[in-house]
This record gives sequence, C-alpha cells and structure tokens, in this order.
Amino acid sequence: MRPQGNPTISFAPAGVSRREFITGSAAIAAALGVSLTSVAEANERRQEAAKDTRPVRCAFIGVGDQGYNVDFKAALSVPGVKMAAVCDIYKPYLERALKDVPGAEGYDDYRRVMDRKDIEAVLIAAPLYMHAPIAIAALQSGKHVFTEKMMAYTIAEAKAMARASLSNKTPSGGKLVLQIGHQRRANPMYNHAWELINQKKVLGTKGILHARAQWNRNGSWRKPPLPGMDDRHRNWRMYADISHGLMSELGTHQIHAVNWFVGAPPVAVVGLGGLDYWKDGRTIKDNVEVLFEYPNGVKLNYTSLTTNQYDGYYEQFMGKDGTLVISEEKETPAAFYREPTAAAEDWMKNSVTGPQQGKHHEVGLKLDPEATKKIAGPGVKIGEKTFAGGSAGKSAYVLEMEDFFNSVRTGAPVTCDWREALACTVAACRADEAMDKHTRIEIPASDYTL
Amino acid sequence: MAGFFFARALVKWLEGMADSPAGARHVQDVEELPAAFRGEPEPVAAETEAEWVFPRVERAAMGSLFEIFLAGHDRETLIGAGEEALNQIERLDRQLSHYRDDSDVARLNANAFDHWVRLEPRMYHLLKRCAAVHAETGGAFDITIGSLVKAWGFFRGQGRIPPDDEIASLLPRTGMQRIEFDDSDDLVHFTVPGMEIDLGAVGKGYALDEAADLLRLYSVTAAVLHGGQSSIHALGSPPSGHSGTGGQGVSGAVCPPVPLPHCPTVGWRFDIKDPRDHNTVVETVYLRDEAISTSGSYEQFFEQDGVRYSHILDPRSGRPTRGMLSVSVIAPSAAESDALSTAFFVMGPAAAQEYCASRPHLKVIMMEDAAGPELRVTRIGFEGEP
Repeated sequence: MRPQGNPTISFAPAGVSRREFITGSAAIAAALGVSLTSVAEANERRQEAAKDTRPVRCAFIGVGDQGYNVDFKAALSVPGVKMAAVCDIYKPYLERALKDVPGAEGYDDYRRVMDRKDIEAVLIAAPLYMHAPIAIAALQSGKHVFTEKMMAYTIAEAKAMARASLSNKTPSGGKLVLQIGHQRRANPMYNHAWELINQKKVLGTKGILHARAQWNRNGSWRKPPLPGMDDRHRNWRMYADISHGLMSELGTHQIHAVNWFVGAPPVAVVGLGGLDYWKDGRTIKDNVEVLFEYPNGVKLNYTSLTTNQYDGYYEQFMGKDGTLVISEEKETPAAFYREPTAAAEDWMKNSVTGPQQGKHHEVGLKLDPEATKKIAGPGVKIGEKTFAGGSAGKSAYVLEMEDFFNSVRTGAPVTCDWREALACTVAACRADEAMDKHTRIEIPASDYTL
Repeated sequence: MAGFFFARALVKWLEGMADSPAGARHVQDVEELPAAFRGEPEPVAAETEAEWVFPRVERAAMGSLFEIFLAGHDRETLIGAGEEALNQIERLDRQLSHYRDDSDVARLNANAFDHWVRLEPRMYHLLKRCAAVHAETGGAFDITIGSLVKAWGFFRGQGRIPPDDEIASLLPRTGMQRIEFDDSDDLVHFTVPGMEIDLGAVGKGYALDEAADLLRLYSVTAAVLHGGQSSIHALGSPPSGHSGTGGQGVSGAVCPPVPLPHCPTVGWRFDIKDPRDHNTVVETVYLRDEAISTSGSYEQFFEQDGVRYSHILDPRSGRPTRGMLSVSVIAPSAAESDALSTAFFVMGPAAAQEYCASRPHLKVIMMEDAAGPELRVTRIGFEGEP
C-alpha cells in the first residue's frame, strides 16, 4: 500500500500489481532522491543559513502584472538581493520597474541578459510559453533560475529545463538551482494542513481518500488592453497554442497541493471542458471539469468555471475520519470537519482557535488561520518544513523568494523543485489532452522522469 | 441632442452615487443610454468627436469604500482599467494592513527590533517619505503610534481612556526618530522594542496614487479615485467643456465629483463644505493631477463624560488632538495630502502656515472647532490670502 507519512513523490499506475507498484514506487523515489531524513537535514541547514545575506546579483525578466506587483516586490524584500538587470518587451512596464531599481540596466531582449557575467540568478515572470526558452538560456549561461508557474507549456519543455539545470554548472562549477513558483509549498498554513493530514492523521490512518478542488470565477478572465500591446501578448492566457488556460494558470496551483498532500502525482485523468460562453476570439476552454486518479483509488475532482463564482476557490481533502478544507473564506481559511463516526483527539483541543460548524452539522474545528504567528519565535518546524526565526509577517511569496535565494547561497534544496513542477505540468497537459480527445488518459510513468 | 443625452448620463451617475451602499454594486454607468454613449458607432455622429462615457467601479478595501470615476471613450476598456486599479488597491491593502499577520507592516512590527528588515523599494520610499514629514512637522505626523492607537481602543475597539502611566509607558515606544534606515539595501530597523507602525494616516492616499499610476499606464486621461471620500486623487481633468462638482453633502468636507456641463475646464471640481452645515460651501477647488485629503474630528471619535475624543492622536503627547474640526490639504500626491492633513490637524493653523510658507505647492483649508455659530476658517495657499 501507499507508504504512510512518506512525502516522497511516488505513484502506482492503475492496473499494475501491488508488487510492480512497490518496485516502481521505490525506483521513482530513488530517482527523485528525496526522503524524509534528507529533507529534515536540509531544513536544518536552511535555518542555519537564514542569516546569510551575501549579495546576489539578479536579472528579472517579465515585469507585468504578476511579475512586477508580486514577484519583483517579493524578491526585493529579501536582504542582499541586487537587481542588476530588468527585461521586458513592453517599454512602460520596463520603465516602471527600473524606477524602483536605479542601478539596474534595462533590456528588451532576454538573450542579451544572458551575456552578463555578473548576474548570478534570473527570475522569470514572462508568459508561460516563454518560460522554457528563457530558463534554458539562463541555465546554459550558468545562472540559477526562479520561474513562475506553470513550469512550461509542454512536458518536453519542462523536462528540457530540468535537464539544463542538471547538466550545466555555475561559473565556479557549482550546482544550479531551479525553483518553480508554486508558492503553496512555502505557505505556513499549507504546511500546517500537510502536518495534520500526514503526521497527525486527522483524516484517518489511511489519509486522503478523495479530494475536491475548484477555482470558480464569474468574469471574462480577460485583461484590459494596454496601449501598444497586441492581444496575444496581453491576453496570452486566452490562446490554446501558448497556454493551457484554466488548467495551467489556476489548476496547477491546486493540483500541486493535492500531489504534495497525497504524496504522489496522478496516474490517469478524464475530463470534460469547452469553450461554451466567452466566445470572444479566445481558443482556450472557459470551463473545465476533470477527474484525476491517484494511486490506491484516491481521486481528485477538479473544477474551474468562469461563469459562476459560487464557493470561489478551495481545496478539500476527505478521509474516513474527516474533511480538511483550505479556501478563500476570510474568517476561516482553513477548517477541519470531523465525521460523526470519528473520535475527537487531544491535539484538537490545543490546535484550534474556535469551534466551527459544518454545513451538515459535522463537528468542525477552525484551524489556526494565522499559522505565521507560530514562527515569531526562534523558528519552528511545521510538517516537514522548518520556518526560520523572523518569519512572522512574511507572505508566502516572500517566504518562497527567501527559500530560492537561500538555495542559491547555500545549495539547500529548493522549495518547489523540477520534480514537483513537472508533475503539475504533466497534470495540466494530460488533462487538456483528455478533454480534447474525450477519452481517459493513462499517464505514462515516463512523464514524470527525465 | 448631445447635451440632452449627456445630462441623462449625469443623472444616472448622480443616482448611482447617491444611493450606493458599500459593495452593493460592482459597476454602474450609463447602459440605458443610446449606443453613442457607450462608445459604439452611430451614423449621424460619425463626423463629430467621439462621445464620452463615464463608468464607475467600486470595491471595499482598507475599511473604506473605494470608488473610481472614469471618463473616456471605450466603456469596457475603462472598466477593465478601473478594475485593475482596484486590484492594485486590494494588493496594497494586503501589504500595508495592520489587521493582517502577513503584511509588510506585520513583518516590520514583528521583526524590525530584532534585526534589520528589508522592504521592497516603493514601500521603503513610502516610509522614508513618512520620516521626512515627521521631521519637518516636528513629530506632529508619526506612523509609529500603533501601540497608542491600541491603548486608546481605536484598533478594533470602541474607544477607552488609558491611564496616564500607560500613556507614559508607551511614548518611549513611539517616534519615527527611533527608526533607522539603510538606503544601500532598503533596510529598516527599530531602535526600541515594542514599536508598532500604523499606516492608517497615509495608506489610503498611497494606494490611490499607485492606482492612479496604473490607470495612466492604461492611458486613462481623466479619472477621480477616492477612498471613503477622505482621500481623493484627481487624475487629469474632466472632458473638454465639462467639469465636476461635489454635490453630495455627506460628511461635509470633500465629496466625490460629478461632471457637469458648461463649466470651465480647469480640473475636477470639489466643494469643501462646513461639516456642521452641508449647505455651506466653504471653498470650491479645481484639481488636475492633484490630490486632496481631509482629516476631521467629526468623522471618527468617541465620547465619554461629555468629552469628545478624536481618533487623531497627537503623537507627541499620546493623546487625542483637540481644537480642530476639519483640515483639508491639496498636494501633488494623495500620500502627501493624507500625511499633511493629519499633521496640520495636530499642529493647528499657525504652525501649518509656517510649514507651508516655503512650500507653495500646498493649499490648505482649516476649520476650527470653536463654540458659537461663526466658523473660523484658515486658508493657506489660496490667491488673495495672506
């Protein structure tokens, strides 16, 4: 059966025997080279290194909405980060960012940034289809890379990025860091939830049996036009030949959380989706309903709509003893609902901030919604992640960037590495394929390895 | 004909403003008007100038209702840009809020005494600007009053009068001179423990400035943005031949604009009113790429034993300010007008006049909280005034 409490990514393709599954799982685990022990050791090192503020000279490529307002600012909240170059093809964006970093040089061609010998790390928030070309160029020129999620537009591109990170070295011969921006990994609340499910077993000894996730909105999802920018550049998320739309831009954040919590990526997928409402020239689907199958019969029911926002977004983990929900609910961003058949555990009395009633009168408990307050002291371990002292008040974006620069400085394992990010890319691409072909896709094991 | 349709558009906008509760309506504009007013082509209008549309968007943030009035020719584009600007305000709310535990303010308050904390450049510069105003106003403006605000029950509370020794114990934890800055890496350090930053007196203005900058990126040339009416950023000027006026007498001081035809096009028009009598206009101002902020004791206060305690604290004494009714400041940015309206409220007219003597870009209207029917008004920076 699935190894309990082991966060290693492993999977059993549907239909294979138990023996084959175990063999395959062990092989994959070995290939991925991750174990609890090494993660814990790495976290120790990470905590030690948290005080390291050695200057790191960076280039930031793509300073648009998310790039500038979130990632650029988060990177510049990390001590020692020096922005030496900024690159964007849209001049007003470039000028806006350069105003903040007067010492940096501006570029409109990312390839010229790679020639800069003084730059150690490249941060990428360009459109999805540009992640691979830019990241590979950066890795080939010996620069560490942080790129926004999803990792790449195709599985092959994502693998090429991973290979480039493994086969190239820093100018001094060191290992290259490649981190992808699925920031839930750096979020204390998600780590808290992981701990409850995988270590405290609040859902029962068999853990997650089913998962549901959705990201529903009511709106065109279209960005308003910017003067001088054509729609493919402005609304690249709308075009199926360069984006997987809802699956890549919204879905992979949530699928990442499910993969992480379940401890394995999906083995098969079926789905229905279509372009049924916003027929405004876009080519992506405006609604997706996908079922992912995980090892041991665990299933994820994933929905993303653009014509109805009821219940917004959430990730819901269901086990024999209860349900854990993480949502955009302001007052209760995370809650646990105990099944009437399950016994209350002692930890619940200490871990909660107040009672919470479920919709159908389940006994519910509101999980600590301010988990970051726990890290005001000298540092604390939540689940498998150690948050350094002084983490209080940091958003997941800032924590994620701190982790990246910590890895650059010390070689510590990254927060979301290519293995996890590749698994998300596989999920989005295979889901799109299943919807397009109206068929069940068995995800080959080879998708998850290089 | 155009005049008739325009008047109807204004009526719709006016109606929308008059009865719009917070968050009740997302977008509201002139949908019922003929196609020409929605920016759609109309054969007879082909040779004339493109018609103007005036959509409005709103969202609750920072404990206020933010509204953006936009003027332009393409309704959908304007609304899209307005929504992006509101997104920006919401992002800044998350960054600046002292009610959240993962805001930059929370990060500073939790860590900046223990070690130097780095801030992203724009936030860092905001703090530096606050420090400059603090120094220039002799401490009348101070963002480190967080612990005092809590002691007086103004933070999620109904108000309380803290004992003298409690105030005395908090004053050493207050004062921007106790913050160190390191420009080489945008680092901030508190030199005393327990200091708490509260950006309540400048956050809305800063958010409006940033939102206005984003609208400019979208080539919006005419808009008015406000947060709870106390802070307003006027972007550009109204369409040629039209102007704006603050016709809605809510709390009296400053109101959102409504474009009216046949007015001089010198900027968006605002009426500054007597807070005690909304029918009395104390001053009419026209703003173009400028901001106006109002601090008033009539808006937020609590009463105990017949004494009214304003929410505006004098950081130097740790006690609520008394003596002023309302202070409005016009400045190039809403962050500056926000900070100065609070500072001048604390400083009083004489000190404010002294401050403005070397700063001709400022205009100030100060109304004193005096007994009797006569309203004592001090005008600074207006023509014909000393």
